[in-house]
Amino acid sequence: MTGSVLKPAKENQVTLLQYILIIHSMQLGIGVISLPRDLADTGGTDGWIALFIGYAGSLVASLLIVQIMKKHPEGTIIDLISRFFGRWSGYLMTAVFGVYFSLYAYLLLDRMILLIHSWIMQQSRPFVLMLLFVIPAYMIVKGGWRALGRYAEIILLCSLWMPFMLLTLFDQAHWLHLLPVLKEGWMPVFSTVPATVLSFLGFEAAFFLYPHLGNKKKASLGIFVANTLTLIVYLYVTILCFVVFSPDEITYYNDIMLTLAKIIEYRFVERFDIVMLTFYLLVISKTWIPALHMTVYCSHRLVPIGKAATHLLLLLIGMLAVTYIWNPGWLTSDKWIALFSKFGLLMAFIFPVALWCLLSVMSWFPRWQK
Amino acid sequence: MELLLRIIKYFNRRSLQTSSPSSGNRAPARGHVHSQLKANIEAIRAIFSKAPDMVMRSFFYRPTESHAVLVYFDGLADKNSINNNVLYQLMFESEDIGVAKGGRLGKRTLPLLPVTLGHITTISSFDQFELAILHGKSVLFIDGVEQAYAFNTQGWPQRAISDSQIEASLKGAHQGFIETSEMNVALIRRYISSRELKIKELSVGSRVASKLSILYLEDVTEPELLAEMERRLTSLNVDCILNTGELAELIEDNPFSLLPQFITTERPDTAASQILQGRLCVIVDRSSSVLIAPAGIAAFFQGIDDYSTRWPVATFMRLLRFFACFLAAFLPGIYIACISFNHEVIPLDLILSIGQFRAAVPFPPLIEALIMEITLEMLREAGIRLPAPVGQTVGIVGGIVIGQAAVQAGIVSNLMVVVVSSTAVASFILPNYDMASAIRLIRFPVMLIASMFGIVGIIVAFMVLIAHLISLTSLSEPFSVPIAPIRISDWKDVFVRLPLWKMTTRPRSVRSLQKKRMGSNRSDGENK
Repeated sequence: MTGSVLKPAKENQVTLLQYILIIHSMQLGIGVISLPRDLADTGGTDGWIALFIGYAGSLVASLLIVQIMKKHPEGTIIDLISRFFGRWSGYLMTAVFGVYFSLYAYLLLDRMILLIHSWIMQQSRPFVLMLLFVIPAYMIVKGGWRALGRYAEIILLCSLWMPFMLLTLFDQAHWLHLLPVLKEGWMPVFSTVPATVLSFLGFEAAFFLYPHLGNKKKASLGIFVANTLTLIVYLYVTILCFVVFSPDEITYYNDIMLTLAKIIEYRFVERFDIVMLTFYLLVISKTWIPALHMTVYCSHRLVPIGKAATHLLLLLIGMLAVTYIWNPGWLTSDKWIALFSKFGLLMAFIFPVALWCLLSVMSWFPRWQK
Repeated sequence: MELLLRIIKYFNRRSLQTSSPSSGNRAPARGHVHSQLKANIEAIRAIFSKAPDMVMRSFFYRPTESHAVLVYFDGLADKNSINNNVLYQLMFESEDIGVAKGGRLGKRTLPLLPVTLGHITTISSFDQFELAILHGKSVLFIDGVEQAYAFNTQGWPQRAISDSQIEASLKGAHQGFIETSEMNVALIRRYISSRELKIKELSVGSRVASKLSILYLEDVTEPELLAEMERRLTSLNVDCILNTGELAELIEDNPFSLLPQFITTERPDTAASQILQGRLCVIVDRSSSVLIAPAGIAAFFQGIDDYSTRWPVATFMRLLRFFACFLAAFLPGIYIACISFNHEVIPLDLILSIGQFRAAVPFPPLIEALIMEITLEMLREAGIRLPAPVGQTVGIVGGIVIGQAAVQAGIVSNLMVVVVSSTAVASFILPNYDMASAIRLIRFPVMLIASMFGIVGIIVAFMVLIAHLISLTSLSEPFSVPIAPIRISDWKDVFVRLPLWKMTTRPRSVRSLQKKRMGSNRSDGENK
């Protein structure tokens, strides 16, 4: 419990597995629930092919991130930028990343609360539900990257049963739905790519996680494995949805994954979707909890007053207050997430590419060759 | 909040005023042993006033032709040993000792004392004398000698070595630790008769020195762990340590946690197996349980019987324990959540029959569960205090009569009795008492939050529990190891118990210096 958020890298190192799982868990969360439907909307039953393109894109971006971080392995992206571009650009990027991750954390947390609100607890006020989840989040973020890594590990173990539970649905699969492949050509697939690219968001955590990785030689391998794991889960769920529901039916449901789980029924448990969603909350929680950590890291870099834990507390209280006053509904949340996606595209795809090009050019000059 | 802080401050100040700092607890040094016997006797009488159990036997010591006196505490010293090995020898069989008449008896002539005891020490100050005599030694003063001699004649009342009550085992050894630290050390030495078993003795406590011994294997245990443990023990500033539980509470990493962070055991075989894995064992004199550190969560699910039963059976037991632990913490909560919040999860037929039972019950599910749980906890506590035959009666009266009558009277529903009793059974499965009680306690907050927020509340409780587990440390080592951080190589002895010949390495979680524990004893085709 003594661990503060801003411990030096040595004392808060994570193992390769933890590194993989943190990145993977930031990617995999709310997306799974609605992704199959989004893919079906634009891409029809070929939407799953677009996943591979999105995967390739995110893989390139994540490998670039690792390449960038290799130029300054002992510090985060903030340190790197301050070193190459001066202190003030460092401050600017800190602020940008801080805003980015706070939005990331808030929007996902809020989406999770909305899911609970509409599927399980219609009577409760959203901010009360948020208050509940803020407590464990505070405890985990306080422990730094190590606690986040351990949390990701335990949650992985606790959620391993879910894909096996869904296996039973393959009885009702109609594989013909997938055929013929590319029935309408490549165009629908390409138009689906933006939706898939954004569901891989989260690997940009490597910007902050990289210095804490013990075995840095395996960073590229790790981020590759993380992205691949995410792809496998997405593919599994998407294909399952596509073969169980008919191509038209699929577009009727909002949270298609939960509707899927609803089909499972036993003589002793009805509404299996509720049980599933409740456990899935654990998986969702590990998307926004690391984001909270990075927000606090940025805010503490920017305003080094007080303990990092105090910043965290203020941040969480702020989130509660926003929910209490603003109380965004599904439409508002959708609108904001759409906006945020553009921001995400900028931060996770365009920014690393641009930065990498810039650094490569700079490293031609002797001044930066150290 | 403000008020609370003030009250705490007030009490802190008061306790500071009333209790003197530690250095004041022990009386000041009383100087050296005199050469005149008379002065010595006076000094002794001054130190131990009102101590009728102190025996001072004076006699004439021939080799030096002077008076001598033997001092000991009646109950703490072994009378047989004093009579046969000390007094008899000193009084009658000391004629042919080659000490010149009237000559000085000093350190050099110490071996020549005609006493048939192995362990003799010289004493020069009254502080040493006080310590020696209080530890059951007998001390000899001779007129004209500026020293005293302490003989190891300890023989206080101690109980025979018997099976441990709290950690009963079917196939393990039937020896438990007793309240004498020398004996406990010997019990462990019987298991690990190796010169690498090192024992570090410390004395803690400013009023009454308590002897603590740290046992470890020098070529296996990580020195950092030993240093950390020593640092914690030596920095203690207490009056006295009465038992291992007190010590654990004073040195554990997170004193506010519900969970035990050290293993305490009464079984020498458990202690030996933990030492062999590279952990430290602290023996507290006068306490019949020892403390083992660092503890990982897995250790609380391992019983010593696991290693003497067949491995598939042991694996089944392990899984059963984890499942039981989950049930004990969450089952009443899940029941309350399903009944009072998430009816939609229960199929219609089932909920109708539950409704039938519940219709007669006037209480909300939480109160109903609390009534049953608290009754059960009271029965459990009452059963401990009562002698065994009466204890059984309490069990029968409580379990069967009260349960049945409560259902018939319409205070609780049938299903609640089923839930509460299966939870109770589950909570007794864990082999470690401290962990089992912690989990019994966890289920109350879970029940409360389940009645307020349904299954979402339970998931939040689960998250809080995980968050707490991963932040806990034991002797600065992560407590949740090897589950988080995942150490697959250690999983051979966590959820499953692999065959012993597969467990060739010591657990990585303990960071032992020597990794290899045994060779592959069962290479292919060897046993055909």
